Amino acid sequence: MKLQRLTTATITLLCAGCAGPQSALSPAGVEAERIASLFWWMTAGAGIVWIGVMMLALFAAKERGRGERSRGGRWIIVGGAATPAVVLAVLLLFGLAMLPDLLAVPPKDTMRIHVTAEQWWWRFRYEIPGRIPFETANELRLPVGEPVEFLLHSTNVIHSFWIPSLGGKMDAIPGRVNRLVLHPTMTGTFLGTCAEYCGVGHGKMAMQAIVVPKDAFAPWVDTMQGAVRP
Amino acid sequence: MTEDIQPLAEAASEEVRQGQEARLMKAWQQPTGWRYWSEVNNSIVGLWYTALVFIFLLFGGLLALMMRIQLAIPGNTFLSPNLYSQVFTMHGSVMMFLFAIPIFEAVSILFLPQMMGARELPFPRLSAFGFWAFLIGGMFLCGSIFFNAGPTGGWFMYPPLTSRYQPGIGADMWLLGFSFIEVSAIAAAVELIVGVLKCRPPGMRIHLIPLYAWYVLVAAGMILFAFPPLITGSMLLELERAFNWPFFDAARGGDPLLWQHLFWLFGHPEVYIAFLPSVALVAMIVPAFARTPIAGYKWIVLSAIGTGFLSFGLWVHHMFTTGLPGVTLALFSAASQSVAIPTGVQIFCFIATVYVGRLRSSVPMLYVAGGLATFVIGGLTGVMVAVASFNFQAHDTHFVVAHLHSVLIGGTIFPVIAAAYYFFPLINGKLLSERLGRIAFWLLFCGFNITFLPMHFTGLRGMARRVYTYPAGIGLEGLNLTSSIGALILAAGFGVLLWDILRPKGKDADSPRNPWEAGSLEWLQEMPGKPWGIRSIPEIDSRYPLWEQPNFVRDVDEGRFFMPDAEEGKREMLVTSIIDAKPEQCLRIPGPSFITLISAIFLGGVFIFPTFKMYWSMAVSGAIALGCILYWLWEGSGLIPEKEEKAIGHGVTVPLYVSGPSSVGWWAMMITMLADLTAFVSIVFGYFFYWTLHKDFPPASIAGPGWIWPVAGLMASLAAWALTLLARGWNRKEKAGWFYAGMGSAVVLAVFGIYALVAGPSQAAMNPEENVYPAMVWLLAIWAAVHVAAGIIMQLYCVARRYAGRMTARYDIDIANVTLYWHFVAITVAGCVAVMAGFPLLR
Repeated sequence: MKLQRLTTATITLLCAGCAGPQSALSPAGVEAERIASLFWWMTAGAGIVWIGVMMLALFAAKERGRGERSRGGRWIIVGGAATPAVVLAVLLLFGLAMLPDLLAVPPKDTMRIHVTAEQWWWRFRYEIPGRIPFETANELRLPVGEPVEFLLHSTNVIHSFWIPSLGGKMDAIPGRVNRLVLHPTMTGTFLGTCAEYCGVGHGKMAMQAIVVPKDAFAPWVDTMQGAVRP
Repeated sequence: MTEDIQPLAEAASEEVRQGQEARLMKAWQQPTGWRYWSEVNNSIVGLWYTALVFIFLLFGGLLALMMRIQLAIPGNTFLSPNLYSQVFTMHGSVMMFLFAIPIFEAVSILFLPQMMGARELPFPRLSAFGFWAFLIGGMFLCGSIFFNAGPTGGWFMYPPLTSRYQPGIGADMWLLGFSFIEVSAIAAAVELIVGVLKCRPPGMRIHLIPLYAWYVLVAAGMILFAFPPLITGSMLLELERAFNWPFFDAARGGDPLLWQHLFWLFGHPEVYIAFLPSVALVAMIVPAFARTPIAGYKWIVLSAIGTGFLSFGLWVHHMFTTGLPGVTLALFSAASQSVAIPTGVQIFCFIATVYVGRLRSSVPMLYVAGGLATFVIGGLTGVMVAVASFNFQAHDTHFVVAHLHSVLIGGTIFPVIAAAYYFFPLINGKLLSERLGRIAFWLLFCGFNITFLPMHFTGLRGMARRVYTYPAGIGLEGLNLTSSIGALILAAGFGVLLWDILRPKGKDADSPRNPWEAGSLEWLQEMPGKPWGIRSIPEIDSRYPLWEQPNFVRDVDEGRFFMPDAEEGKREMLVTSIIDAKPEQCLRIPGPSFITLISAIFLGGVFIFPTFKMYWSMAVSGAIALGCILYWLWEGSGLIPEKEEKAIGHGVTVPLYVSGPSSVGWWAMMITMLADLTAFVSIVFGYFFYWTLHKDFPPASIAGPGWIWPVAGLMASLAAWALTLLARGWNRKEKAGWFYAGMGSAVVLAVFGIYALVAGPSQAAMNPEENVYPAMVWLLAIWAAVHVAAGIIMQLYCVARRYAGRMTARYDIDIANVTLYWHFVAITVAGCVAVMAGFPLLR
């Protein structure tokens, strides 16, 4: 975990051009951090492989009239089959190891927000135990450092709920309810967007997640309660 | 035994050879004037096809340029949101359906026979028909955007957006228009498979086939199994749009995810069908410039087959964010990563070939190198998106756009351009320009990288796909502007390329024969080529006959091998056995005919009229199309020859007429029916998909078709099948009376079978609009019934052929192929009844 945080922080600093309120490369949540770290490791690996293959090709192209077929054969086996197999196996292990946490069912007392994707806006319904449910449109307010469970649904076409700085995306599909869990780790305003083509309004179906300190969240819920007439 | 055949020790006299050439010229002559368009010769049809594919490539490219102009700055108003949707839908669809697959088929039609020392493909009129269908379908689809009526669902057309939220004809055009194109693509695939398996020169055993032919086999085989799921899915979606059958409507038991499965079962193999033939071109080009045979031939063949196979097990990686369980994600993630291994082996074989040989610099090799550099980037980002956890961020963003263009431009377009420079002399005997080729290359290579490298970051910085604009101030402006400038450079590169291809070359020197000093058979061609293709069909002992067989070119030119003549003035080619390429038949193939164009027009009507809901016109057009096809078969296929056998040289005689498993027609029927069966299996997949995922399938309140009528339908259909089989035997034994009685009864039973199959859902008053369960049952019943109906037409055709004396006990190809068809009908009807009537009984 610490290594991941360090990696992402270093690289984000180096690559200040990657920062942004809607950027998977400037993570502000647990899931986004893990995935960003994975991305940088994979990019470094990909860069090494690409340079290696290009150098191999350039070396092979230098005319020398070798004509020895057996050496060529060994290259094929080692280069083409064995090395990728090993590298991919390692990558698979690391990549898959991340999956259970990303897909895990959160504890029962996690705050739950029902997301209904409309054409072309986001309806958020907060169901907090002991409070009256209330809705917001296109704007989320979340407490920092707490997991949130989003239950995604659509009554019209398929949409996809994506706040890159906080984590990966999940589709909202008519006829099913999908779950996405996010853990914001920094305060601030993070932008999100629909990520599944849903008609002409798709490009403008934006949302924002305002992550506030924990002690600012409860008062906000209170004001929203005041807005809901029972 | 052909292993012992040597070319003639002495050529025939000059006079004899001139006589041979005069007769060959007469048989293979192209018609002039407006009749030129009735030609079916692969060299001509292949040329039209390739030219049209390039036109569609340019059209798709223009659409892309329009998109990049719109995205150059945020909030741009160059394209309205609706027009932008049409543009990105058409860009993707044109590139995938009108370029990526057809370029493979066009180039294969053009060059595959030459690579295999053959004069033609086995079904020339089918190739011509495929071209006309492609022209009609392609113009129909591309024309739509000019009327602001283009499809707007994306190239992937996900419901419910496309089923219930897009009134108008755009989506219907996509579904029907591209289904028409897909059918013609399957027809071309069937012909290419039969061509590779059966139409080789003697001695070209299976391990001596040029690598291009192996890839054709793999890619065409993939088409057979990948296109049918899409055709089935398109049928379901069009049924929902036109008749309200709720396959994708969750409220009535349907499921939008079924479309995604069917589409990606097609969509993932599709990109390998696009990629593998281009690798095949590289496999033909690299040995020529490395001046050495390909290294690792067996490895490449195994990898190509392995890639083809594996590609059918990856499709779910397009659906990682749809809420699937972790186990599924892990499995498909692993499979998706693993496909990099056989892909890598092929690339390393090319590098090894270069290592072993002595590489010459040339324009084709420049494009091969650029393609390799680009493709490897795409392959690496592909492995990245295959990792499910990373996919959650990258999916449906411009990161994927960067990935897919890297693999497609690097892996398909650059090799195709390399092939254009390499094979151009075979088209008209001239060479393309070295200088222009290099200029175009650098423009394309730099343009590509400037456009797409930044997109990796555009995507991860929050820009989704298929958006007509993006918010300002979040860091996307610079990246998008850079990409758009790169697109202009890319366009300039294509412009230079286009100029090089189109510029007048009358004053250019002719290309020397075999300008690249390659070793494979297509380079036997004289410059410019003769209409009959190869002068005599050679005996092959090696993979690179021009390098390794002594006096090879001279022997072919002087007619010292097989079939140097056209004694009866007919177009002829040699059919050989599948594994050992022993001569089996001298196949007479048809010459020019307009029936191909006319059939394509009326079959096109069957797909175009329903777009506008003109169902009566569709029926009439279909009836005429059927008439055209029957005329085509009657007049031009299974013709009884004037003699039983023909001498093809070197003391070898072969029959002129073959029926049954050695004949090309039988193989064509077999292969076509495998594709058809795959479409049926896709429907059954749909049935069990609903049953697996939805608790109330079938819903308790809706009655099924029961078992009585379906089983009656099955019994009647099986009886019809059995009688057809017996009738084949009776025909062979000259028992005419039994033949007619048997076929007549088979027809009657088949008619009853249709009635009974449809009576199942009909008598149970199943309403297909009410819920997906009755819709599925009706679909199964109608699918089976339609197949039986086609079988009846075929049975009646056989009766007519026998009556008219065009089919006899010895010359019975008609009923041999019809019986084969009926085997598949039996399987289909049995499957249909098992699912709709048998399965409910099990539960």
